[in-house]
This record gives sequence, C-alpha cells and structure tokens, in this order.
Amino acid sequence: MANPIEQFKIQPLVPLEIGGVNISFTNSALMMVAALCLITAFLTLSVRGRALVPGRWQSMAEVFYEFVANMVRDNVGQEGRKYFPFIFALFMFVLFGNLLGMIPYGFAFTSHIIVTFALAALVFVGVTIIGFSRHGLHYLRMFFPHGAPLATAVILVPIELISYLSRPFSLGVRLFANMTVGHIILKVVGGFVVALGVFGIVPMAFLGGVTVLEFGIALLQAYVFTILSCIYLHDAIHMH
Amino acid sequence: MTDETKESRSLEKLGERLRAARDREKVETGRAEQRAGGPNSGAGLGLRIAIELVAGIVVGVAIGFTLDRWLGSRPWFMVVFLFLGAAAGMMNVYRAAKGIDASVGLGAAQRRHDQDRKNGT
Amino acid sequence: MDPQAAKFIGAGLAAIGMIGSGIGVGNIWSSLIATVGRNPASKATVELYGWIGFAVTEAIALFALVVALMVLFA
Repeated sequence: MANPIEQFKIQPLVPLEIGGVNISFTNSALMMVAALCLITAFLTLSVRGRALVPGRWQSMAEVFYEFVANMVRDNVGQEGRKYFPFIFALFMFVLFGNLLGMIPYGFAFTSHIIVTFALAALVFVGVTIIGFSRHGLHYLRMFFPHGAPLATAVILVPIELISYLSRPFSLGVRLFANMTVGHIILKVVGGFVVALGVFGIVPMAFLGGVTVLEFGIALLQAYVFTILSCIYLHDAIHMH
Repeated sequence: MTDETKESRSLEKLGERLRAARDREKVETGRAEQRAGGPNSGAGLGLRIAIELVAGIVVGVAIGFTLDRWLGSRPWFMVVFLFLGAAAGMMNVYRAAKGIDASVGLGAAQRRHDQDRKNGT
Repeated sequence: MDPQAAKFIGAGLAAIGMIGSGIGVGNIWSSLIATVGRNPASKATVELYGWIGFAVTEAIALFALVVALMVLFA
C-alpha cells in the first residue's frame, strides 16, 4: 500500500537558492499560484457580462460574494465593510486551496501547518494592529475583566493574554488537522480498494461517501477559518 | 380539493411572512442566526475542544520556555506558564462547550451570553 | 547508557502519569452525561460540578506534564 503521508511531500520544481536561503518554487507554491489564477479568472470572467439577471457563472460568483458580505455584516458590523476585501480574499484562497487538494494528483497546500499557521498569524497580527490603532493603549484594557477585584489581575491578565495568543495556533491547527486527516483517510481507503481486488467494491463505495464528505469539509473549514477571523476582527473593532 | 389548495396557499403566505420577519429581526439585531449544523455540531465541536485545550498549554509552555531561555531561570517560568496556559485552555474549552463567543474577556462574554438567553435569542 | 537517552526515557515515563488523569476525565464526563440523561432538571448544578471536577482532574495531568518537561528541558 502506498504511504499515506507521501502525498504531502513538497518537491522543488525550480530549485532556487539566494543567500543560503532555499526559496525554490515548489509544488505547494505552484498550487498557490494556481489557486490565485483560478480565483482571478473565475471572478473576472464570470462577472464580465455584468448582466442584470445573472447567468450561471455570474450567480455563482455573486453567491460567494454575498455569502462573505453577509458574514462580515453579521459578525463584524458596519465598520467591518472596510475589511471586506481582505476577508473575501482569505475565504477564496483557503476555499480554493482546499478544493484544489481534492483534484486527483493535486496538492492541498492547506494541509501544511506552516501555510495555515502563516495565514492565521497574518490575521492575528493584522487584528492586533487594528485594535491598537483604533483604541491605542486602551486596547490592553480588555485583558482585564470589568468589575473584577484588582488583586486578581495577577492571575487573570496572563490567562487572558495566553488565551489571546493561543488564537492563531488553534485557528491554524484546526484547518491543518482537518485537511491532513481527510487526505490521509482518502489515501488509506483508496489503498484498501486496490489491495482487496474484487471485494474492493465495499471500500470503493465508502470512498465515494468520504469524498463527498471531504468536499463538505473543504467548504466548512474555509467558512470556519473566515468566520473566526471575523469574530477576532469584531473583537478588535468593538472591544467589549 | 379547494380547501386543500386554500390551506396550502395560506401556509405559503405564512412561510413568507415568517421569512420576512426573520430577515427583519436579523437586520435589527445585526446578529446571525445560530450557526446551525456548522462548526458547532458534534465532531467539529469535539475537535475544537481538543485543539483549544492543547493550544493553551502549548502557547503557555512556549512563552515560559522563551522567558526561561532569555532570563536563564530554568525551569520556573515554564512551570508557572504551563499552569497559566492550562487555565487559559480550560477557559477556552468552557467557552466552546457553552457556546459563548470567543471574544477576549470571559466575564464580559459570559454576561452577554446570559443576556442573550434572557432575551430569548 | 547515553545520558541524553536516559533523559528521554525518563520524560516518557513521567508522561505515563497522564493515564490516570485520562481515566478520571472520562469518568467525570460519562457520569455527568448519565446524570443529565436521568434528570435533565439538574443540568445547571451538575454541570458546574462537572467543570470543577474536570479542572481539578486535568491539573493532575499537568503535574505529570511538568515533571516530563522538567526532565526534558531543565
């Protein structure tokens, strides 16, 4: 049976090294570029007609747009409109990354923890900068609950601080774990199909179900990643 | 026959009114309906709880370890921050399990949650 | 034996202590589910005790983790 971890291997396509730093163009980078091109092509070509009554492609693009717009409006509020482009880009990038991984011989770059963690860290740092620029040093106030005795600050502040710092970690790990586990299951079950010969029809049926489930998870995890970013953004803007 | 169609038509009308009322409410409160079947369902919640607990501890230990390396006070900061990180992790797990929003500050979040429940949302 | 190897073995042995905590946490939630299933009205009170019990039991695992980390890094 093929090694289920092998599919996550990063292979350099164009070896490149500058100043002792390996910046080869890898298959992961290729998929990211592919996702970028696909998103751009999909969004520009589908709304090129600008029909009042949208066609099939245009309504698909509009569904994505409206979905994210509603998410931003419901979870961040009116002030969140400003950050909509970023949230939309994040959602589309993660979604296409997940879906590209579902194409046979494709590569899911979201199944690498460094990619998801970099995205999560980007959100985290951005949100923190927004919070500080909107509220100044007052932003630190939210690490101490209102009305709690001052003596408890010694314990509560570090706890809230760690809870705040653990956000990018849990955000990144969640996406990474879901994608990795899904792809490993697909590979292992696929190996059963080959190994069992004629009786492989049973795992084959199971594989069909798992594939459908994986598509659902690809959508759901993109949604979860984006909605959590929205919630963090809401926190930074409104600061309860 | 005529009664049936009338009934179905009135049901349709009712459904439409319900949808309109719900939309209005959503706009007024500015709050999304509970994410039905979304990340808060079964396996998703379980995975989230597991990750939250570990994330708190890992971040705590990482902070403690870095402080120790910096100040040369092995292993005391690591031990202290491990317990603080575990507390943060447990707090996040409590939040996830109770469905309280993930914003900073458990006390305020808890109060908002209770308020929402009282208001019947 | 290489002292480095002994260190890793020691850390692994220390981590065994978490078994008990795992059993304990499972026990707490299983009894909580059973209790709430039998008497849903008691959910609010029992849940609070459940969280306290979970925190205390989990703390025992943390002692094992502290020992393991101290063996590894200190």
